[in-house]
This record gives sequence, C-alpha cells and structure tokens, in this order.
Amino acid sequence: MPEGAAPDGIRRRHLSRAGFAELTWNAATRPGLFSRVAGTAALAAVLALFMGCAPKPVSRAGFFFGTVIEVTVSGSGSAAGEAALDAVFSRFEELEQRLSATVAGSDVDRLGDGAGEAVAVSDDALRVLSRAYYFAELTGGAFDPTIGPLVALWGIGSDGARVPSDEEITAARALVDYRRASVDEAAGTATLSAGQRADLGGIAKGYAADEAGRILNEAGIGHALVNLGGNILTLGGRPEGGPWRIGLQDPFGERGDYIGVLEITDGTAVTSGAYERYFEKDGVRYHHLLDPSTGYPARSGLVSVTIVAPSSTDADALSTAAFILGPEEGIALVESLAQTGAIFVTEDRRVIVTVNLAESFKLTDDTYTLQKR
Amino acid sequence: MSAEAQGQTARLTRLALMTAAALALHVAESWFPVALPGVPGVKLGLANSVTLLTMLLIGPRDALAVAVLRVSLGSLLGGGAMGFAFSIAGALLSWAAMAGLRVLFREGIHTVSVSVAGALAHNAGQLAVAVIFSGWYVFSYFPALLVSAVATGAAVGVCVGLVRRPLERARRAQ
Amino acid sequence: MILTRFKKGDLFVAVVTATLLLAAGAAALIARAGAGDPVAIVIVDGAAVDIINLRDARAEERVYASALGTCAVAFEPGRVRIAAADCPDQVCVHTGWISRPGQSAVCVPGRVAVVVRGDRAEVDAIVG
Repeated sequence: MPEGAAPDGIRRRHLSRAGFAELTWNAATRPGLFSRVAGTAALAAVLALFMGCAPKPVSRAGFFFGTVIEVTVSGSGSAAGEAALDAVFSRFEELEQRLSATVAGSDVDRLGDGAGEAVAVSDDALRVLSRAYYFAELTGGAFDPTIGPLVALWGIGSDGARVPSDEEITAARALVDYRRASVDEAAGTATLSAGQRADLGGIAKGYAADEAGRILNEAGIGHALVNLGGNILTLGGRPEGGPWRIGLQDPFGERGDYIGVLEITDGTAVTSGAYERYFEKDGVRYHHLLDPSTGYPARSGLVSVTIVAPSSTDADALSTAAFILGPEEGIALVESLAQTGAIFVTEDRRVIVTVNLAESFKLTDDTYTLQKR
Repeated sequence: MSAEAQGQTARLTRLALMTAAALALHVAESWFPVALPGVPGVKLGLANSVTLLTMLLIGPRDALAVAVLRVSLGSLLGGGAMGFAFSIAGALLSWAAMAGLRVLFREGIHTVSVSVAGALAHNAGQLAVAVIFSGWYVFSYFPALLVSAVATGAAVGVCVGLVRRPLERARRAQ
Repeated sequence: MILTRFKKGDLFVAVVTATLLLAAGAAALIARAGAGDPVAIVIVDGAAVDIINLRDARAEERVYASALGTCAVAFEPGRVRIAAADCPDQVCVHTGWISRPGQSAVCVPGRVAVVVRGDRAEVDAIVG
C-alpha cells in the first residue's frame, strides 16, 4: 500500500483498487488492529444477542366457544411454551363445558332450569355471573346477562333467525331483568327467576381470555398474543420489540380488512360489531346486539365499539354495553372507568377515539374521519 | 518515547477520540423519533459522519475500525440484538459505499455526494435487516427512508466539509 | 465545499439516487399489494392438522374427519372453501371461498375450521 508522508507528518494511506483488495485480505489473515477490532465486534455481537434474545414463538390454534382461537407465546424455550399452551387449551375446554349456553349440562344450561331455585354452579360461573351483574348495574341494564330469552327468541346466528312479533318480544323482555337474578358466592349458587335464562355470550370469551393470560403469566411467559375469534389479549409486546400491532376490523369491509392500527402492550381489546352476526329480512338488517330495553337490535348509530382495557372480561361486557348505549352515553361510561379506552365507529363512517387512546391508535383508512374525544 | 511509539500513541488517541465522538452521536440519534411502526431501532445515520471524517482525515481502514467499534460499544449501551443488527448493517454498508466511491472517483467527487451515498447505503442496510425481521411489507418505507437519507447525508456532508479544513489546519499546526 | 461545479462522482451519485427513488416508488406499490403468502390452516377437533400455502396450492379437495362429522375442503390457487359437510345448517359451506388473511370458514357442529392467515402482515391480529 503506498504510504505518503504528507506535509503535516501524518501517515495517510491512500487506497488504490489493488490496495483495497490487499486491505481486505490483510484484515482476513493477519493479526493487528483490524482483527482486534473485529474480535471485539464479534464479542459484542454475541453479548448483545444474549441481551436482546428473541426466541422463536410457539403458536397453537383451536376451536372453542364456536370460534377459532389462536395463541402465540414467546419468551421462554419452546418446551415451556408448549406446556403453557397445553394448560391454556385444556382450560378453554373446561370453560366451554361450564359457560356455554349450547352445551347440554353446562352451568348456564342448568341455571335456566332452576326456575327460581338456587343452582350450584362452578367457581368460574360464579365469577362471571357476579362480574356480569356488576356491569348490568353499572350500565343500567344495557348489558344484562339474563338476556337469554330474547336471544333465543330472535335466534340470530342460527338457522331459525326470524323477526318475532311485538307480543313475543314484550313477553321475552319481561323476563330480562338482572335485578331478579342473584349470585351467592359463599354458598356457591346462582339463582334465576322462573322463565329467565342466562346468556354469557357477551362476557364468557373475555373471561376465557383473562384466564389464558393468567395461566401464561404464571408460567413465566413474557410475550403472548391470545386471539379468541377477534377478542385480543396480550402479554408484553412483540418479541422483537415494540408493542403488538392490532388491526381494527373494518365494519363495512370484508373479514381481515382493517381501518386502523392499535398498539397494545399488556392489554386487551374487544370489539362488538353489528357485522359479526346478523340476518336480513325485507332489506332490513337485524344484528345480534339486542337492546334489553326495547327487545330489538340496538339502533344507536354505531356499527362497532372496541374497548381497550386491562381485563378482557370487562372489555367484553363493556363493548356490548357501550354499543347499546350509543356514542354519547357509551363514551361517558368509558371515561368514568380507569385505564379504559374506546373506539366507536358510527354508521356515517366517523371514528371516535377516547383521549387515552389517541397516541396508540392510528387510522389508516381515509374513507373514515377521526374524531378525538 | 520513540518516534514510532509516539506515532502509534497519537494514532490510538485519534482513533479513540473519533470512536468516542461516533459513540456519542450513536447514542444521541437513538433518541430521535425515527421509529417506523413495527420497526424499532432504525436510525438516521448521523454517526456515519464520523466514519466519513475519519476516512477523510486518516484513512478508510481506520474509518472502518472506528465504525465497527462504535456499533459494538453502542449496542452494549442499549438497543439489543435488533438495534445491533440495524446499526452494523447500516455502518458497514455506509463505510463500503463511501470508501468505494473514494476509490472510484478519488478527488472527482464532492464530500456531500459521498456523504449522501453513505447515508443511502446506511438506510439500505437498515431496510434489509428490517425485511429479515419483519417481512416484505416494510418495503413500503423505502421511499421515506431514501428521502431521509438524502437529507441526512447532505446535512452531514456539509458539516463534515465545514469541519474538515479547520481540523486539518489544526493538525498541521501541531 | 460550496457548490463550485459538479464533478463526475457527483453525477454518479445523483443518478444512482434518482434510480433508487424510482425503484423505491415501484417497490412500495408492490409491497402494499401483497403482504406475504396467505396460508390456510385446517383445524380439526381443536388441533391444527394442515397448513397449506395458498399461493402455490394445487386445485384439489381434501376430506377431514373429526369426532363429530366429516368435511370436504376444496383448495384452489389463492383460495379455499368448505365444499361439503355433513352438518345440518351448512353455514360453513355457504361461507364460500375465502382467501384473505383473517377470513375463516367454520363448521361448528363438525368441529372443523379453515382459517386464512397472512405470512407476515403489517398487523399481528385483528380485533373485531
């Protein structure tokens, strides 16, 4: 390599093409400053890798509560991950047996046959019911777990879906009243008045998600994404760094289209949407979110409500309640609760976001207008 | 101390100073909100200005040493495996582009252009790492990265050019 | 250092930058269009039994039997559907072809589900 003694006495090395090649060869073969630097770099790389390790995620899909469930965990070895998933999925099975309205012999099923007598139910059912009654109280009955008779009457989501007559609706509505139902946690029983039926569809998946989160947390899992058919629960953030990125389903688009991205770390998100389950008759769409005070699908000007909260049980109940209450009362409800945020999508394509989510939600579809509250 | 040893010490000191400067910039620029959604650890490339300066004042070999040292030490200070990957890819490609241009064109190229090329290569390296980590969708950030590279590179090039003459003169005065 | 005159090297860098900008524009458009290969996952009795890359799927039909029923799933390049099932409501069959990440066809009584997932999408999951 030609070396010049420049006037200022500094040995400057000028590179020719040949010099470039020689430099690379020397670096690869001879000890010296360069190799020492390379060695340091390699060592630092190894250390950095250990510090920021992101092991391969473990994923499992299943089928419970009538929907597809997917759980992804990372942050421990794959053996620990698989063991944790085993625990989570067997818990899902257990919960389905206990809380499903369609499984014969489930707590919910037997509760309906109680006809005014106390029925012994599982701890899970007790917890879900008391939380459900708490929200029924809080929302003035907008969320009501005794809505079973109305749900059965309309039959939305099954083949027998139809528009009931006014008399039928009035009769069913009379049975929907959370105040006539009760839970006795000490005795381990729950009671419904004669004719009442419980439907935990608006809260059971949330509870299942919370249980999954609890099990994974106890197993020491650092990063997890639990997706119960659209109910999202997260532990930590993405294994590679940064929060989990959750898309918001487009209420007017196809499944899989999203209109914005929510960044979540350690939280849950649940949506209630008019597009999830419905049937159409004579050009009118009847969706599955029934308003207990009218007996008809809620007409609040909303097409979807997404709640972000630390508990999926709460988020599930709140999303149903907020949908039925409508934007004004729904927002007031959410704002009165700690650590809870909401995104409302209206029929006229407005997206209303509570202030506490302004930073973590980005609207990506410009056919909608964003309104911050 | 013999002249040889004095020279070596001077060289080591110079390199250490350059590395320190580069490291400072490396840490400082990690505070800039360049974060692309879903891709934490992306940097502007300001620390490459030191790589360029070293290359101009001393030589490409030492510039590479400074760059690699800067990334290694910088990643020990934070950033994790992902941060390290982004930084090393950016720094190496940047060095290669700048050194290569200097070899190809010698004095037939302005410092600003070298710096812009270095910044482009830096962001190209970061993009490649992002694709490996997060998949092809990050390619949609390519245009934004390019524009930012040209801007950063130009700014850096101007600064380096401004700083170079006084530094060379100062050394001559020693 | 002030812009005296353009030299050969400057021109080279300028040309390269311009080319890259054009390429970037094109690449960005392409990237937005496709977010990775869509993958169909078939879940029988709660366990994922088949993962098929839809991009290079051959046109074929596969039969899956669960403890409660049997389902025929039809594949075509880029899309999948439940072609036949022995459940009474046939909701799964009526769902028709699905092809986008996030879509699914589910046979609740037969405990068979087909889910489409993107390979590496911009979002990790969709709430809704």
